[in-house]
Amino acid sequence: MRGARQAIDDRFPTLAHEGYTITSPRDDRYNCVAWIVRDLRRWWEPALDGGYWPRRVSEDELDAGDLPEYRRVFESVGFRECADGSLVEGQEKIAVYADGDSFQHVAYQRSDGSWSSKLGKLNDVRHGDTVCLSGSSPFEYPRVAHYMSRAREPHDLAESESGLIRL
Amino acid sequence: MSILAFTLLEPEAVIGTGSYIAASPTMELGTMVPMKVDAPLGSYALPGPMVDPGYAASLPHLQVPMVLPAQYVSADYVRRFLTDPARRQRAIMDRIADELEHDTAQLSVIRRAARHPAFGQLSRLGLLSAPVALQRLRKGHRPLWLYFLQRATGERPAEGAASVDEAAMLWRAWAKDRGWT
Repeated sequence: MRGARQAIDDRFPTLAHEGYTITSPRDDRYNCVAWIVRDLRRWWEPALDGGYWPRRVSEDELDAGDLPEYRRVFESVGFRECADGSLVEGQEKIAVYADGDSFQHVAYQRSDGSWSSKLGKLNDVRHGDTVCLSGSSPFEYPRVAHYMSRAREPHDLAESESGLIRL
Repeated sequence: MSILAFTLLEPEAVIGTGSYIAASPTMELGTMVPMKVDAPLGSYALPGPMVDPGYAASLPHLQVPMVLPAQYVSADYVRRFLTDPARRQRAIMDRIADELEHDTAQLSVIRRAARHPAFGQLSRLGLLSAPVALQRLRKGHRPLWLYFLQRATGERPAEGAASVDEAAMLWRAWAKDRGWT
């Protein structure tokens, strides 16, 4: 686990400074979008052979800016734009990180107000806020572009203390 | 003055004292970049890890990392290493692939990896890069190499595969059909 922590610390210095908890082993079978929709068997990404995406999209469409496509998929599972990432009882929020029209990452808000992210093919982590994944390192994500919310649904893995790590 | 073409495809080179034009294999493959290399007669130059920020600063028009190619090693080592072009080529491709894996591990959208210079360096080799990617499909960066194979080869044996596991299996079968096991 020390190697996993080092890999995250090296790429996300702001997160390393603010502190986080690793809640899963590394896994290249699923990504952050899959984590939001509770599908740990598939890497959710359009135009990737071996990735899963609910509808067919060409690379040309995505090259023009894929953020609208990601938002469409989040909307298809009930999320709607909301003002911010504050904790609201009964509401499940996600933070959508984007660079202009280019989607980069999505994080899930736990029911205690903290956040949960699958960092690429690295580990799932629990972090205190949404800002700590952004910074000036070339590996950090851009700022949150949108918050979205829906009525909270169960996400046992994200809500448990240990996540996918066996204690 | 001699010209030392230290590119991926170039054979063994012997350098003597003086200034040379060299290309570091860490840069875009096949690209010639001027570098000053001073070495005693009979030395060999190999790509080395030393960065020369002073020299890089003197060439601001070059938007590439500068790495000194001069790492002097024994002539025997060089003979063994450089007389096997395939082995040398593979070592260079592996180093580029390592860099690509390292720099893209945190990407949530693996298509973004195509923006990394190392992705372009390898994918421009087309099918030549496939064995490196196929071997790395066995490790922990499968979405990266699935996308790489899709882009670099132009082949789509895993089109429609609904999971990383299934797609990796289909690419391995594709390789096996070509006798690349």
